Amino acid sequence: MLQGGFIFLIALLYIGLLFAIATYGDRRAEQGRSIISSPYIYALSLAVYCTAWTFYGSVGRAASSGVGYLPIYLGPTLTAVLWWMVLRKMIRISKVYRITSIADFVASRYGKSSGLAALVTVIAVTGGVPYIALQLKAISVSFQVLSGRPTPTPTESLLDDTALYVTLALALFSILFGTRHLDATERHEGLVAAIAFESLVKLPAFVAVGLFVTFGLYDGPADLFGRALARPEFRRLLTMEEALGPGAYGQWFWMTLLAMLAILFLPRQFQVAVVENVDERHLRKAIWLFPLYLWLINLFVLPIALAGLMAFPGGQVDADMFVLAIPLAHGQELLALLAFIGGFSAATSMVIVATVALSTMISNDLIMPILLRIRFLRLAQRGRLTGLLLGIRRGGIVLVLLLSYLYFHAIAHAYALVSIGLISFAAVAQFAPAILGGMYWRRGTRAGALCGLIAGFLIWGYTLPLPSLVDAGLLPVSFIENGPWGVGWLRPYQLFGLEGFDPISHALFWSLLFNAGLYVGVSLFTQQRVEELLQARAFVDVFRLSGRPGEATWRGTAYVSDLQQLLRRFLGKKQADEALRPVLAQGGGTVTATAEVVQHAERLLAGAIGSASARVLIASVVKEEPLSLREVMDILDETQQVIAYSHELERKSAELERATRELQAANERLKELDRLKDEFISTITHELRTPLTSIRAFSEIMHANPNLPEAQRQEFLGIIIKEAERLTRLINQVLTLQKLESGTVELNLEPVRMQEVIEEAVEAIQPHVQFNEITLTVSVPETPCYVLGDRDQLVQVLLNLLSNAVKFCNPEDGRIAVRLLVEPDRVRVDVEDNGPGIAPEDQATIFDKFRQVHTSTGRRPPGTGLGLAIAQRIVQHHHGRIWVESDPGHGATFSFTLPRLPASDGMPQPMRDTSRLNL
Amino acid sequence: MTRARLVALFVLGLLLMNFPLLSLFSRERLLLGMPVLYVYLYGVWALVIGLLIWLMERRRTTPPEENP
Repeated sequence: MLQGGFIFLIALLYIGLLFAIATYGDRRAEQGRSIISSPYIYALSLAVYCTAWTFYGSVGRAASSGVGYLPIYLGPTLTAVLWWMVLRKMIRISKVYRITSIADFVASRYGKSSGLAALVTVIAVTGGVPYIALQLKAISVSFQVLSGRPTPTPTESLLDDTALYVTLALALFSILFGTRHLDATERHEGLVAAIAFESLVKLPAFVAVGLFVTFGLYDGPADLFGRALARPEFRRLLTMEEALGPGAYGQWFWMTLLAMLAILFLPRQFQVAVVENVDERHLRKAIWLFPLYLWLINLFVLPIALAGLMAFPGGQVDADMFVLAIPLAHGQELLALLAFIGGFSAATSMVIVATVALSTMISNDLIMPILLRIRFLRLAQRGRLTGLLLGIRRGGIVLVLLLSYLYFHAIAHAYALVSIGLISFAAVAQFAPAILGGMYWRRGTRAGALCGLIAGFLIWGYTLPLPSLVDAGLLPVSFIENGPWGVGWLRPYQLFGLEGFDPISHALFWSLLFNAGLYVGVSLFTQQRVEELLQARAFVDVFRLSGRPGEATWRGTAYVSDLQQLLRRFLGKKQADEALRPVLAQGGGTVTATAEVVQHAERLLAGAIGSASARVLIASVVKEEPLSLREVMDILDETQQVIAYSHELERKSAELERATRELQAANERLKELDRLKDEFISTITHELRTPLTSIRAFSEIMHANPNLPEAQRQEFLGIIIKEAERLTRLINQVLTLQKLESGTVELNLEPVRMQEVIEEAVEAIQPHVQFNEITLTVSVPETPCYVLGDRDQLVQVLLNLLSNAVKFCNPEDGRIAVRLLVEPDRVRVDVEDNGPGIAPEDQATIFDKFRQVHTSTGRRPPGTGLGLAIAQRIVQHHHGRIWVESDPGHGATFSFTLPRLPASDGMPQPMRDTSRLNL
Repeated sequence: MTRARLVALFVLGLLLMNFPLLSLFSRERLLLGMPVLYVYLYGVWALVIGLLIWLMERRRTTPPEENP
């Protein structure tokens, strides 16, 4: 056991260290060299979510409910997935309108309403105090466990209570670093630095205990789980149904939802995540770093809980304190001290941030509006008010801590850490409809938000904290069991007779149902006032509007000097003049303030005292002429038009871009066509020149040598005739192709029997086949099949394919097969040869004009290279398709299909060789 | 695009961490010596974090999209 005095000294030294860090952080901020401007620091500061509840309470809950502690961390992980959309918008709104608390956020959205601001503050404080009390309880109990008083009891004398001194130290810390000066942005860099440091302490401390338990006391997790689960009484922790009881999954879902909302709306989370955010981009890293932190700090919760249950059977030690008790029981005093510091960190960081956040709300959203409304105080006309404001803040801190301390002594000792925490979570969940609705739904009105919040808060109070008074002995047990005055449907845990829910899920369901229902319902049936209308749009469209100059939705007369005086009173002379300088410079030192200057001044004030109070104050120094709803609508329409116009511009430029891309593509295609045309002409002139050259050469020989022997003359004349024929053929083919391509070819359409086409073509090619000693096989079905086409053209196609096949056939053992296949709706003709085949890369271009695939020997094959191109055009004109399949080295098969004319039966016919020509 | 992926990830996480998928792993059985429910939940949790890292850290050069 450790000496109580020693532990106390350590705790105070630790707080001293926090003071040092915070001082350093503030000093660096004043020098303009912020140390918190890092996404890692931001993510660590968000981990203020992990309080003493996480550090001690999770283990306690795991010991009784297995994995039941997890929804509290899975929920925030799920919310973090949506942070990029939700939290980023909250940050942007708060930055643009200088919002400094969650109450201010709600009030500002619904027309800077001071009533709403006060209501939210009341809910936040009522919900927050038990949670702070929970931390004080954790500090007090952990202190007692560590100093060797195993059964914690509420201390008799307050002066003996270490928690009191710790509370006082924390109050001092919060006052020093939470209310140093009034700032239009209300950021506390030193405080954030200290919080981030605390997150760096609590994680290793908890993991150290986890590692010690898992690998020091046991041989790893398998050993630990194996031994624990050998005991039948622990097996129930393995499954949801056994560990959480009936309705386990419902409870699980509601807990997850509760935690999802809590991470956004707990005042302290709003403080670190939104108000203290330095740079929106930090969010990008925090989105995964924060869940990772939660994952790590929770990894050893169940192992520690099981080890504790085995070490202290029969409830000798409160399961909430296993983290300390296990190391102590094994003589690991240093580890226990480290764990204590970790838990202390978790508790203190939460207390500090929550207190500062709540005190800002109390002063800006509760006290100040009241003071400003009390006319005889004439507050707006007084001298320097910075002192008064800071005084109220400090009073707020003391008040919150005092309330928490009293709550801890009066009630909190009767509860486990987790149950107190959940009550607080359920309170802040009430902000969800008003805030989320307000951020995405323009129509949400102040009346709707007010009704929803009041209903939710009342139901929360009736179903959660009120019954807890029964446990504290302040109300009779019959209140829970039979309902007030014996009215059964008013039983706080079974409201309206709803059974089978645990108290938290039950309270959350009813409160959110009424809250959201009234918010939406009342909003739909109430009108927004001018100010609400403007603010609703400012919030919902913040990304579209921020960065644009404020629109003149204000009209009236104000003097720059009045505004300056006002700002000086609340911000101090130096700060006020500095903040106003850029605006004054723009205004050119005019005496009457422009609408922009007035709006800027209001925002500056809002940062210091909240938007509702700022509104009241500005109204006190300007002679405002109220704008009618009509006028505001006109202004809104105008800006809406500007926005629509810029959207239109955006769309147009996108279209233009697309058109440019299309034009470019078309240009490329034209260039390609031009190149092809050049190639075509060059090829065709080459093709023409070859026979012409040879005709001319032989003619010249004969011309110059009239005495040539008759035999030679005959031979030469034969060549000339052949070349001339070739020339004619080429020209004919070019003409045919030209006609086909230009579409001027007249197709003489008639039903054509495909068998006849094949016969005719085969007959025509026969001499060549014979000459080259090729085996030609033809297989066609017996039943005639017809296509609608030009008979001569189709013969031409087949002839071209056949002469192509003849040309490329194997010279030694040439074989060609022609097949006609009849399919239900088309006919297909295959012409197969056993030549060298076509390389895959050439198969796609083989039908191009003059594309002659070079044989392996590099020899240019005979022919014009137009045959396949013509065949393709003809087939296409007949709505058919032509293609080639080839396995290089194993011949090629040219195939084409044509739509088939409906025949008598329409079934494919069995094949039979009608002619077998072995020539 | 990132927004749509994030919303999909959110839905995926919500489904994997709730009834009825969760009930498939609520068994009195051990996996690698650890309770299967425990392994599953921490595994799914790690998966969501991993996908978040992938979504947020990829293509750092592109500016974040402005309009919500």
